[in-house]
Amino acid sequence: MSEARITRGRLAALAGAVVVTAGAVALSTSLRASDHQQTVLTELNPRMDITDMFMFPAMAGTDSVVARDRVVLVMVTSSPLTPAQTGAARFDPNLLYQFKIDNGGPGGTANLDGVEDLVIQVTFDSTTNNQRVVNVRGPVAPPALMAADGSPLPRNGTATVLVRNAPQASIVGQPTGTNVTVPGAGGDIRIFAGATDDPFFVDLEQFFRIIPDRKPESGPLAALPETPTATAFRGPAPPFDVTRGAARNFLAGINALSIVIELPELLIAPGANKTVGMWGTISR
Amino acid sequence: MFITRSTASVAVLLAALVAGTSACETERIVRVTETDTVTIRRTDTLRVVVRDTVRFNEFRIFNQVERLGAPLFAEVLLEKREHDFHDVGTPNTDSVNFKDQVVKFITRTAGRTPAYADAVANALVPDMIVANLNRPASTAGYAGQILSANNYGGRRLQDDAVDISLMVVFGNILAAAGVPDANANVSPGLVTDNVPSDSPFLNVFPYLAPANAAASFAGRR
Repeated sequence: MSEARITRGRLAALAGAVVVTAGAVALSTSLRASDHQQTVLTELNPRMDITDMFMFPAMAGTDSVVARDRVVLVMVTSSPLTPAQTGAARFDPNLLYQFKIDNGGPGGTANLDGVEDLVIQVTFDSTTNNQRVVNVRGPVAPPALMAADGSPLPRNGTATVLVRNAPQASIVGQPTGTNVTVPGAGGDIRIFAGATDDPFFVDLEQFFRIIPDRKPESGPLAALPETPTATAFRGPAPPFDVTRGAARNFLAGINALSIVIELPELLIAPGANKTVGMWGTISR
Repeated sequence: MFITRSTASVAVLLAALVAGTSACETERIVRVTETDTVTIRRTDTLRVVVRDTVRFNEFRIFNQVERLGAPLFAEVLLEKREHDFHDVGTPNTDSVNFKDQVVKFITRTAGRTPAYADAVANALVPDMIVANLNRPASTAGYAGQILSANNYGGRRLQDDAVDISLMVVFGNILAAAGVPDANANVSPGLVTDNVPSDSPFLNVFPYLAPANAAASFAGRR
């Protein structure tokens, strides 16, 4: 009798051989906006597509949470989803969604250098309804990564791993807006991850008539002429261009998968400098 | 067999043990979870089936395939063939990699002066959404930090990022900030797309409007 022991490394190798389908949804419409379907890769893989990033001060509204000194970070992905496609749309458990923060570093100045000083990592487990989990790690310093020869890779590199021993919050089950307390990190982090309205608004058709280079590869808007056929935007109401009609918001009624994180400002700007830069990434 | 389950995931392994020496081969199905130990014979053939709910993200190296900072930096200012390059980059190299292309778009396509284009390009790289968290919330708004260091800046949901970006590239919104030649060679037909927001944003968490239902979608299309 002998006992077979499978190590983590071997399991990881095994897992690499498993083909996981990512719940791809065929899209009947083809739209792009601020960054919608910006490349062929993201057009064909909407779960890899960040369409908008936002950063704004938390609002008190009718909420019981005190908004003062809190900030909201938003990542919008996977647009465009029609309402019919929205119910089955899921974040991809094989992707890593990250909010990157440049706060000038320890004792930093307002002269931001574009290097990430802190990161918030978001991953998802499962696409099955009652097993869906949202994992949020951070904000923490980005994890160190070693090259094959053991030397450290640049702090701002685009290859990364999940940070270990980080403050972590999880929402288990159907993701909805939830208060999650991160222990010892200076205050509540509120997390939402799920389907929302796409907040963007733009007259894409006329934009592509003016700058055809930015057209998508497929869908009705791909059929627009390759050379510019307009030099101005359309008017909002009659009298307007009789052949092309009034300006039209191509994202009206369209949905997306969004991640919203509201947290204390101190967690992203712990030093004296309070000017921060923020951007979002998706990794696979 | 000893397996540590990945964080919070539902790790379900089905291990089929085939007794290789038996005349009548039998197959045992073993469901393995976090701390299970399974003993097998030396002669057993081990077949492990990993179900699709198992995640091994903790062991992986992730490679960046998508990046977004300012909403229209790549979409408007960079040629489409450059978008993939922008997606796998980091802001600290934006000045080296993309500033020239931003200047080129603003001078050639938009027809602005080199001095104006240079000032705008310097304000737009690195490609990040910038906010001064110490400024009043009432001064929050897209490109606010470009207009004045006294603004909170950032980007709110209701901000018309298209119009603001068009006004930076084709209009004179930066005249108030003292940017050179901000009033020269403007294109009045290109400073707004004449589309307002249709989204009923919330003033409480999570702030985004709820997903649209089919009825409202059909009505608007």
